[in-house]
Amino acid sequence: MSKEWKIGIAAALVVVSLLFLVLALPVNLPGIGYDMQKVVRDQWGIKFRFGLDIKGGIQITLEAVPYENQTLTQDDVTQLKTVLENRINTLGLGEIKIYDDPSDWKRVVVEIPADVLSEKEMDAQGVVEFLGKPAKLEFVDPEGNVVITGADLKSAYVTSDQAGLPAVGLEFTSQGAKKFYDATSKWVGQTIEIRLDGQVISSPTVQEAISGGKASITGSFTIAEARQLAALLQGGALPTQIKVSALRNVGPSVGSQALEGMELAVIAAAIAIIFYIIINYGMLGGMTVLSLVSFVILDAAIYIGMFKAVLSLSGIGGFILTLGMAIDSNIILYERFMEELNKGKTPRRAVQDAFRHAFVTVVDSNISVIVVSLILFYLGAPTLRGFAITLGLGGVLNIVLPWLLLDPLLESFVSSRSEKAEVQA
Amino acid sequence: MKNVWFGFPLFSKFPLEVVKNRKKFYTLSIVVILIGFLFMGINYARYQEPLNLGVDFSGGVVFTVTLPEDKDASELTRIALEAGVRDPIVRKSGANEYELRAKIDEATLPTVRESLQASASVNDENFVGPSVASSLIKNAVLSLTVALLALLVYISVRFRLKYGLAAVLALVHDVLVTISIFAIFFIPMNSPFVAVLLILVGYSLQDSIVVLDRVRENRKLNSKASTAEVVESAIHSVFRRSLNTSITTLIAALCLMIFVYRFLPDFTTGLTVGLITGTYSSIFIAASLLVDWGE
Repeated sequence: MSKEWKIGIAAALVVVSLLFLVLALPVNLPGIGYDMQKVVRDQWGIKFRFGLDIKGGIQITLEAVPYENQTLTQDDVTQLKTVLENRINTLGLGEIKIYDDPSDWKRVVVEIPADVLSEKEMDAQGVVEFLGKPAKLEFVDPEGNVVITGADLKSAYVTSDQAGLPAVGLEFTSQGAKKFYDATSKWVGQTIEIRLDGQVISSPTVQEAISGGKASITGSFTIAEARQLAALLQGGALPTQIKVSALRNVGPSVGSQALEGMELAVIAAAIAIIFYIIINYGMLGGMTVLSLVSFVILDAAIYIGMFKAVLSLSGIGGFILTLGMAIDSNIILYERFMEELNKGKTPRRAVQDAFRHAFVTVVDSNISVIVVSLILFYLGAPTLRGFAITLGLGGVLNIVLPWLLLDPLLESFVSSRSEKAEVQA
Repeated sequence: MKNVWFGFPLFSKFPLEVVKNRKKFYTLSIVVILIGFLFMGINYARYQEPLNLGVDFSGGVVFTVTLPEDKDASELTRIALEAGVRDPIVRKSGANEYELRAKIDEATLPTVRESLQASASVNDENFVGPSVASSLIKNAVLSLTVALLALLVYISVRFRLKYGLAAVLALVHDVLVTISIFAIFFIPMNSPFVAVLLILVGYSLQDSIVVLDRVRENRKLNSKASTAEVVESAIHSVFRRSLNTSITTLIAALCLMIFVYRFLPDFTTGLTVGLITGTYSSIFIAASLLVDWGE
């Protein structure tokens, strides 16, 4: 990337950061009546969703009940858990805990944060219905034979039909694709019914034989219905029947008072840290403040926007940790800059050398953190994933931002000053 | 004029010789950890458990109660304490509805129930198992162990195996010291402790790597110097950074301590202790180990 580009991007980031600062600041000062969430929501348009540990939610205990002639085994329950997990994840219910009930091997417990429920406009009853659907998919030909079942599906997703209305796209396994081709070539001009749990959800007329293993279910779906259907099909059919054995509201384990305290702590810490850094590093410290604001904005935007994540205590912890690391990247760079300057180098040379040496440190320490976050993400329980994502994301930003923002900022700062010095001389 | 631009740096010179005195620093760490273990023994004698594991880890009872209009959470806490409940956790769960979670043994349960019924209406009483948090911490420890092995490989490739071992040992030290502090002050541990453990690992690693990185660089610049000299100079070059980073992050941790200790003693204490021990081990332990092991 050329220097002009980097300086351009750095300038843009600075402008955006300043803009956000200005937007956030004029609201009443920290103290009585200050509501950070409200500020962020109203001024920045960002809505936080909090996890079960912070805002509470519901806890559903589901018990596996065998179908007729089925003997329930541990495998069935494990598979049941997987199917439920798939459904939940496909619907984007995020940060939902699902675990075995230790007191009864036939039971699994599902916990859903209240904030997620209200966002999906679902209530406890809706969730239970959604999770309890057997989701047995059948394609039935005019003679009443089942030609394709849910087992032939590879994936299901939300798409739109030719009229632009919500529809559910299906992709078959290679075996399923062959069955689908056979059926559609046999029944051209007739209808094949698509049934879910015995109910006809669509009865399209076959126009021509379809190869390629793709189909879509159209009908008068709302987008929410299409999403649920796709999630059901993607998750697969339940291996057993289930019944709700307990449903209860869970209070937050952190609680709203702690959250308010945390907001105050964040504001107090931000002011104290900015003060400390500026005393210690002067104008350079001012740049740290800019780069930290960029960090917070980018981090929050990606975390909440892209990952649609729910903030839990461990997620917030990951955020605090990476913010600390962001400050650290700055400090490492400045300390190195001073060190090079004290060796008698020109400011310009000192910036270049400082960046060359210190950036290695920044990269090494942040890659280590990214390694930890990746492993936590893949091995960790769902609750740990929020932490893993914030940690990994922070690590990446901490490598990108010093390179993209801090280096050009420092260099242009130093060169503008040394030019002045030359003119004076 | 220069200071207006570049600030007024605090701490100009590191007053200690680390490598020469390293045995003293090792001893200090070992003493803290031993005191921690001693307290685990004392705690076991006094409360039949070495660490103050809260409801999340050991299970307990959850009461849901509705308080009269003029009473609030502190009233409920007071009632619970008077009835002999240790470390009750009280949360608001509705308009006047509160949740009281605590480890309550069978002997005191009737007393607690009676005193609650005397001043509030008890809506619900539930036993909760230790399952969630326990399986969570098992999962966290397992994943972190795998992560550490992967890191050992990464650091061995980027640096050398011994550097990796030094970083990991410093990390183990930090975890032990943190747990010792929890044992000494008998601070109740609940699921937020898992978050503390995760943060501790990240922070400790970051700190150690910064120091080790400087050792590697100084070694390249000066191939004739002894390991002790290289390590000492590396520590002196990075100590300002270590200190300034620690102070800024400590500011955040202390603010959390001030505002939310009441609600999250384990999270705030763990964060603060972890930051301090993480910095300590990176300066006084991690790099010095290289002197003992030979680079």
